[in-house]
Amino acid sequence: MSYPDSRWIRRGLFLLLGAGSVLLLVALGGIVRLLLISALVAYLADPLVRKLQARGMQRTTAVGLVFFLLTVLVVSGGLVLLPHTLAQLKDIQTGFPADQFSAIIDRVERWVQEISHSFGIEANSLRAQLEELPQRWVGQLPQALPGLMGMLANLTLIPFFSFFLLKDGPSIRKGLINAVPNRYFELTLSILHKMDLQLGGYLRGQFIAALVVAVLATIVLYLFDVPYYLLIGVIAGLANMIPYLGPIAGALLAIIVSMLTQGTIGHAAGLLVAFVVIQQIDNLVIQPLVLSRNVALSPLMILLSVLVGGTLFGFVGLLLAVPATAILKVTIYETVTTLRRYRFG
Amino acid sequence: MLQMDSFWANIFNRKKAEQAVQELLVQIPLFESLSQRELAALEDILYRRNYKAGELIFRQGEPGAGMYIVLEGTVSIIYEPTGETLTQLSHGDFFGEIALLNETPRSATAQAQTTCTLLGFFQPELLDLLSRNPRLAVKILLPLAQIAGQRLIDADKKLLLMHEALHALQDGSPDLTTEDKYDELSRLPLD
Repeated sequence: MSYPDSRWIRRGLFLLLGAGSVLLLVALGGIVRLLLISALVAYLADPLVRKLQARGMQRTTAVGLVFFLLTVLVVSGGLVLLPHTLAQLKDIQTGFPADQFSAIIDRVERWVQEISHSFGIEANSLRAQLEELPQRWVGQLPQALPGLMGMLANLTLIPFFSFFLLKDGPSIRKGLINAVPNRYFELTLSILHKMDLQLGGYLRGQFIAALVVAVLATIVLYLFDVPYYLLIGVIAGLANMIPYLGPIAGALLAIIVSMLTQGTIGHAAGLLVAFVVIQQIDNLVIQPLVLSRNVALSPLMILLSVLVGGTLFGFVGLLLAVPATAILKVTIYETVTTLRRYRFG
Repeated sequence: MLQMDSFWANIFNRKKAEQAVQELLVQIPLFESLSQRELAALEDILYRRNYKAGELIFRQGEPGAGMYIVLEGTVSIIYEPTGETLTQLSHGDFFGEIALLNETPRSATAQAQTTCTLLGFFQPELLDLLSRNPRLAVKILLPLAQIAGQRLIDADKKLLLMHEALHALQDGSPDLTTEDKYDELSRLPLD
């Protein structure tokens, strides 16, 4: 009687364990996503805690101080900006200034009709569809309400998780590394260290660059008297994390809103120039200063990741697609390179 | 009462174990200038690893991530491919410290001769310490640099002696002084 090779049994068990873990992660999707976002927040805040520790502060005190400062910043920022944001959101719901809106819609509708005619297609009335939009949004509100409540709960849980992940991060990391078998121990340490070197600089740099672009865009939009300047500024900053496409999307959004409300070409051209200047500042000043490491991703990879992220996870997926792809790329690259150096590959 | 006893016994045993580790650490040239508090901070970032007899700790040629300190058991340092045992290390001995500075390939294989408990101190932890507690990191880095410098001086001396011995052999006249040099050469550390 022959027994199967114990190595194959072990590999089979590992595969089963891997599949079980993936299934568990999918089943606990919401919690896993929350934990991942909290881990990202903790990872971004870690250098601040280290700086305080280097000045002789205990880690727990340093984490407490960082969270206190962040809370003060978020709450005071919220108190100042929230009324503006809500007012601007309300503006969107009630609509643009009626006469300008009507004139622009007429103009756009005429273009669409002409183009459709030349292609032999009968276009539906744009005005009717646009007028239906606010009612449709209001109609969807009751279904969206539980989602909004969940989002609020998540917003409370993320700081909570982040605090503990930041405070206990080193011991959690040590505990996980300690569980690695002896043969793969140094290899694991080496891979994690290199990933941290590559990604830490990239992710923190992207975050700071997005923040600076959001502030600059908001100031420019405010100076150009563009309505919803705050919302568009924040969207432009967030979109900046998507290379190539993001900056264009941010500028386009600002120009479209400006055209719809002010309607002058000169105004739009001014905005375009301002956004090009912001981009140049971002590329030539901010990014070289804050991005200590860059993860080279090809335009095709960026486009694909944005499409996949957007399809699977909506707006959040759209924004996090590029950093997530960068994490994946660095993980695979560092693992394969280090495995080869340790003669596993 | 029994539970309480075991609770206190546990705490006291842990304290004793921590003290034993710190007493061991202070004997190592890298850590001899550290205060009690600094030793405790250092202990927090060390990894305690257990090895079975015969288990490999690292292989010659692999990139080194850091150093090991023998807490319990015996470790053999083996030169490949000859399989010659260069030395055997036991309680309080340490090896691989240059890997703390640079991820260079290991110059020999380390294998557990008996069941071993080692304390591992690795480059990522040292770099992390440098950003969190630069004063402590510098107190470790300075003797490490001195050890590396001494190794360089020894290697230079060894190279010079080998060079002279080679010349003497080429001339075909190994004299008394050459034999003295062989002796001196054999007394120098291998790495």
